[in-house]
Amino acid sequence: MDDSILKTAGTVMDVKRFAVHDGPGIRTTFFLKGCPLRCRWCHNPEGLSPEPQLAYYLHKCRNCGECASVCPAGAHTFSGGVHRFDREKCRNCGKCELWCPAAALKLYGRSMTVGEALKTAREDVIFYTESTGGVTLSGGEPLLQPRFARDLLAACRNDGIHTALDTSCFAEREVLEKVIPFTDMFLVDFKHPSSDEHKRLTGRSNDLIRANLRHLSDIGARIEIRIPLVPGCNDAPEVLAETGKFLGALNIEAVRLLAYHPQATTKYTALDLEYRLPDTAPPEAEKLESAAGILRCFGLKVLI
Amino acid sequence: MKIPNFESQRPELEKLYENAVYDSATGLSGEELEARYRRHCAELPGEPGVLANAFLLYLICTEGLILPEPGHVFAGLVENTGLFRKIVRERGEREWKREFGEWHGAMSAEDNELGIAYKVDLSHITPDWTTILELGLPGMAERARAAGDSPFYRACVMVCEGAMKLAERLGKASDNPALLAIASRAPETLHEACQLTYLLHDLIETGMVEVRTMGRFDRDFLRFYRHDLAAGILTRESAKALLKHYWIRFYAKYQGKRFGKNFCYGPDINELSYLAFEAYYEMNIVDPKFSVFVRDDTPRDFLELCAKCIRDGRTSVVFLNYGKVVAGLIKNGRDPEDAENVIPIGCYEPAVFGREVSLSGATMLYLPDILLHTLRTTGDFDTFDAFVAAFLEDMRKQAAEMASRQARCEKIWPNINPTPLLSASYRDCIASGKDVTLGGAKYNTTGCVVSHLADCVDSLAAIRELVYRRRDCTLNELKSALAADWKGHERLRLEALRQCPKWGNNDSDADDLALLVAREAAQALNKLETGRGGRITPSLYGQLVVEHGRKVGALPSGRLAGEPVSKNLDAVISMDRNGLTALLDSVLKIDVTDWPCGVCIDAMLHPTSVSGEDGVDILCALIRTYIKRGGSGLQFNIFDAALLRDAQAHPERYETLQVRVCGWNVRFNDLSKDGQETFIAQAEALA
Repeated sequence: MDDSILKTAGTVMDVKRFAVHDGPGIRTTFFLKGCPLRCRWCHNPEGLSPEPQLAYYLHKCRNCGECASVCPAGAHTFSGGVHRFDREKCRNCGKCELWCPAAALKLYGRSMTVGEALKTAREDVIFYTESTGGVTLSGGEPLLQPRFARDLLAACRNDGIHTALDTSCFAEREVLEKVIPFTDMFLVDFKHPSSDEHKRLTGRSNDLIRANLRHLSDIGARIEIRIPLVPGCNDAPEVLAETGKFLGALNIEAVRLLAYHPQATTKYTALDLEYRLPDTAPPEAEKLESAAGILRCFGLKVLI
Repeated sequence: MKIPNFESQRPELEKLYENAVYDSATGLSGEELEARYRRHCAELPGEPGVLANAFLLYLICTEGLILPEPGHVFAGLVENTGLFRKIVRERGEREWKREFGEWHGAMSAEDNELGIAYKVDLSHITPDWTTILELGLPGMAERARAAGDSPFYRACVMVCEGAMKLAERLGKASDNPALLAIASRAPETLHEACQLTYLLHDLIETGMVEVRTMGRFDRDFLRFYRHDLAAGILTRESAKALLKHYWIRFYAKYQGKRFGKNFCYGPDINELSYLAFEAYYEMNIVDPKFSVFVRDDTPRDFLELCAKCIRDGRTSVVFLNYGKVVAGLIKNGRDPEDAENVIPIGCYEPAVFGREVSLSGATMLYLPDILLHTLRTTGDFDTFDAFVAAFLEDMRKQAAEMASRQARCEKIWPNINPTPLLSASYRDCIASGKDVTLGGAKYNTTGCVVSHLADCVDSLAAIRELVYRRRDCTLNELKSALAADWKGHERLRLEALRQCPKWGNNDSDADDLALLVAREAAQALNKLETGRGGRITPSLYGQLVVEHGRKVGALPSGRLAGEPVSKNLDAVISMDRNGLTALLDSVLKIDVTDWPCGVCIDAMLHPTSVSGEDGVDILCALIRTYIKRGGSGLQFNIFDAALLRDAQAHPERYETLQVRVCGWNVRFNDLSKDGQETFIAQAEALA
């Protein structure tokens, strides 16, 4: 391994150790910031923008004024004893997060080098070994930071750590090709089978995604598909049948159905983003079962 | 043998002790018993205490009111009128006053100023169940009789014969063949083995010694189980029902409100180990509690069975590292063949089974309290190293003070409660002719629980960071902030909480301090002697965190006065910011063999982390990793904050919800409000 890759830096919004839902076993998941899709149901809105962002959780704020006193950019002001946050002025330095006694401020996104990430990943190697776990890159969309993603995967691989990539596969083929040699398992989000609907729901067509998935299947990559089951978006039986037909023709290990949940709404507010899927309830257990039933008709192993 | 359906008898059995109504025709009332005992003492003024105690127990066995239980698998209730308790307390008051010059109503004391605790320990003991099962009551009486004619031996014979008579009385009144059998010979069947151990458990406790551990269950009861299967006495199913009838009685006695009764499994796993865990799973109960000795060769399917219990909320199980526990005992003076026959006393405190009286809960060193003592009694320091040196010196001083006071407690112990029934099971007591209270066992150690490491480490780290690295305040300013419970020093407190290294994150900056404190504490304690000719045996964990926390002032870590302190080897609540694996990484740095009396860590997991079959795999991986890497003492809590909140609001919907407290389980509903809040805070920190 060329040691220079340890210096490659990326923007990481979170590191989750003891992650048990991001691939097999006990894993360390790095959430890379930035995503080319704009799924209406997105539950990680802090992962959309590639830049660091300060979240301001209004409901926790005690209007104490500590943030204003430490902010070098004047982004936090108080008028009439009430806190105002000017996102335009914020330089994402994170000082206010450190001093907010109410934990109402949180900076998403920090620069991290491959070397730093690898150091964190190595701390849990003993747990990967026993559980057949490893490292997962998630996001956002990790392929939006191709060099960092590739170098981190390569560094882990070089250490003998199992690697998984949680991706939408919305990336140019040459980007995907860069990570394939260092990725033991692909966890691929599949949101909708129709190109037009995909565009309507996520802002992008799925042509690239389907082509990439076919390619991964053709070269014999380990693939687990994840479908966020979102009521009114992709849960109609004919949509599921179409999904099953497409996936059934590929070489897929398993399909995991993830129930939509609306728990991210406070994050949207905190980031001054608009939540575009209001008034949608999580799918009921029977709905998940029936969706799984449809997919199973196409010879797929479906997990809930 | 026909075993009655367990579930149909369960409600009645659960309330057995509470609802017991003794038939006055079966013996003497409490007043009459007391009068008989007082008369006896008046007639024999110089009688050795061990004989007086034997007489009292014999009297209760032969004349006390009993509860006939026809139709039940077991029987064993003899009216506990509180007579023994009264007598022991009378002696305790007299002796304590004489020794310490005061009486505050208990044979235990906590010096919060110095951060130490000590006591005349009438708990944390296990009889030698292996010997009891082998010899039976007549065999034990015979062994004592053959050994000599001293008051001690006569006392041993008397209590064994008393127990035989009690078995006979109960057996006849209850039409119970197992009781009648053990009245005259050693047990041969599983029913008899369970009946004998249960009867003696209660009888030893009647004699005011709390039995914490019921032995290496799957090793010592296996031959009875095999015998019964081969002889057609039991089937696997009826044996399982028998175990439930047996265990429910331990639950019934204390209703899950007193630390639990430990049954130990492994390291050799056999068919009884599986059966026991299946029965435990089906019972879904807070007490008994199980401890499992894990080794690399522990069968995968057995570990999965344990993990399934944990996953599904049957969390009264602690996993111990057999190899490390044995190595720790050997390293600290036990002979190898003794060390291999280890038993966890109480929750997870290893001792040599049947040869060691370790009093594992007798003494405490409260690390945060000692740190506050150092801060109160010293001035300024130029360097952090100088401060730490002063703290460690203070800790050694308090350890020595604790040991000297504990030695005085142990000096008066034989005058308070000699225990011939317990001693009769100890071969070394029989060989030496000495009661356990006089150091008759081979190993007469005294446990010292070095408590609340995380609070101490985080406080030291904060002092180093704030005073000596950043120089944001002087040591005196920090002391003022603590005296004010951080009022008016909110920024400094925030710095202490957020910007200083914390134990439990695999951060060597904090962890190195923990290793230093732990090493120094173990070394200091290992040099100290007990009052019975043995040594202090140190353990590293913290219990009763809510109760003790109320007595501890504000700490440099940012903790407010009165808040709960840290449990076992866990991080301070919500300070293990990097998750469970990082916490375990930190804990694994501690050499558990320096802590022969035990260490323990609590893993808090959200139910979604361990759901389904994958969850069983995750739990097994955690246990295996921890043990393989040299850890010992791992236990779990599985719950989420929302559910606990709901349970707080609607207790009626969560009657079976149990939580692992320190080394035992209780129903969530039985916790105090503060106790519930502490668990909720821990659960919230998981999110």
